[in-house]
Amino acid sequence: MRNLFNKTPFNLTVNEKVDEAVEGNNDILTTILLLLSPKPLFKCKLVCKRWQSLISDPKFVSFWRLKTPSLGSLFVNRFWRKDNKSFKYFYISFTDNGLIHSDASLKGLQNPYGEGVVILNSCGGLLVCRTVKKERTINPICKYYVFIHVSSDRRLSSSDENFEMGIYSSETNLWRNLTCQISKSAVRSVDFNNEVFVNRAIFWPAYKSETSIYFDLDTESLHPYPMPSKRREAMYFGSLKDRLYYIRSKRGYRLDNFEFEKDYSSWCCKYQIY
Amino acid sequence: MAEASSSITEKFFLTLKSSDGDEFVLEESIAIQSITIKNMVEDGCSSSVIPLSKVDTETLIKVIEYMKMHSSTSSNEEEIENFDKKFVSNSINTILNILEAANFLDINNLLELCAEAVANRIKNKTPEAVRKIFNITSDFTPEEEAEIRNETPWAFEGNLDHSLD
Repeated sequence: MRNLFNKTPFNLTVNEKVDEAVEGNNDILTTILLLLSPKPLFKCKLVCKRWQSLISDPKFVSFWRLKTPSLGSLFVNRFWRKDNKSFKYFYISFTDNGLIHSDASLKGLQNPYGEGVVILNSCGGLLVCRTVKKERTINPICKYYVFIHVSSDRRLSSSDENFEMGIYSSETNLWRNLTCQISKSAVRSVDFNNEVFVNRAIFWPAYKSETSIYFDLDTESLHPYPMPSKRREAMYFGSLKDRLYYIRSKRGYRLDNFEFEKDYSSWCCKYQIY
Repeated sequence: MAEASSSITEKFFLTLKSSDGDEFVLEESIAIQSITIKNMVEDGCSSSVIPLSKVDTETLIKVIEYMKMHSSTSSNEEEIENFDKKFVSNSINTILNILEAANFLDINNLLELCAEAVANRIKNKTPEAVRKIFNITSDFTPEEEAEIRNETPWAFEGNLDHSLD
């Protein structure tokens, strides 16, 4: 690792201290800081101006980012790893040289939760993964890595459900934490196992409820939306092009095909198939 | 001295002198894990004592321990792994001294081992604790501090460790 620095010295504007201590040696300090994940690294900006300057240096940042694999690929395999902080995937990458596939590890993703992860499916370039208790979504194409789970912290308000989410951007290699509040009644019957990603939003269906919730990636917020039916009768909940569809079976012979309006206000029963 | 008459199997020894003046005799084949020492040997500067003015006795003992364990002939992988685990459990100040010595002596494996150990130790610490460990005085104004916290508030969330080791 040090050879890397010897070949490409950093041009830092900070004053070198005369003493030989580690703290005064940019080479050693850089070696240490490069090993930190985003949260500890950015926290270390607060140590002193010299550290801040080092961590903010674009050359440092680019070296630091090199440690993390790019996600510009399509993931196709499920791989369950209980044991550690990394999980393995099989991916296909479309490059100028054709199709490349490879086994790789997502260790560099800096999964801060350190749990086993299973990849459930990919839709619209979005990879949906699950940990034991939590849920995460990765969008390799948009370079988004979204982590979502329902927090167990219900202290804030008895009528509101507190959602904690982390959004990982593979462009900056940074995690940001979000807390969204949404009324308890809106999430009572939400099925967090069957999400659909469409129009840069993640929709979860709800059963036995008139409303469910979706997460808007652009505004990074949760919103309620209506379900077409109160009963648990969906045969299909998914997307076609950029629309959300819900198909239910009635009395065993009729299929109702609902399309969700573009303004997310209501469903329209487009077809009935006998 | 062992001149041309020496057989192939004969061992060469080097004497390393710490900044405290203590001398340590070490097999050359072990000592040249340090690129700095290796270069000195190759340049023919090692006939007498090698003074290591930047490495104190306590640190040099640790470095020699490490080099002995990691010399290719004496240990198996499992032993080395266990040794490394124990090695990084030294106090953080000791690790920092070894890190500095490894940098000066150019022992890459040792440098990486210690750098990782330091990174692991400081990753959950408060900035204040990191300052104390590295003996740094903050040169930020309260306004500047607040600004940094505001830039990346997520970096300062959660429970951080105040301890110094």
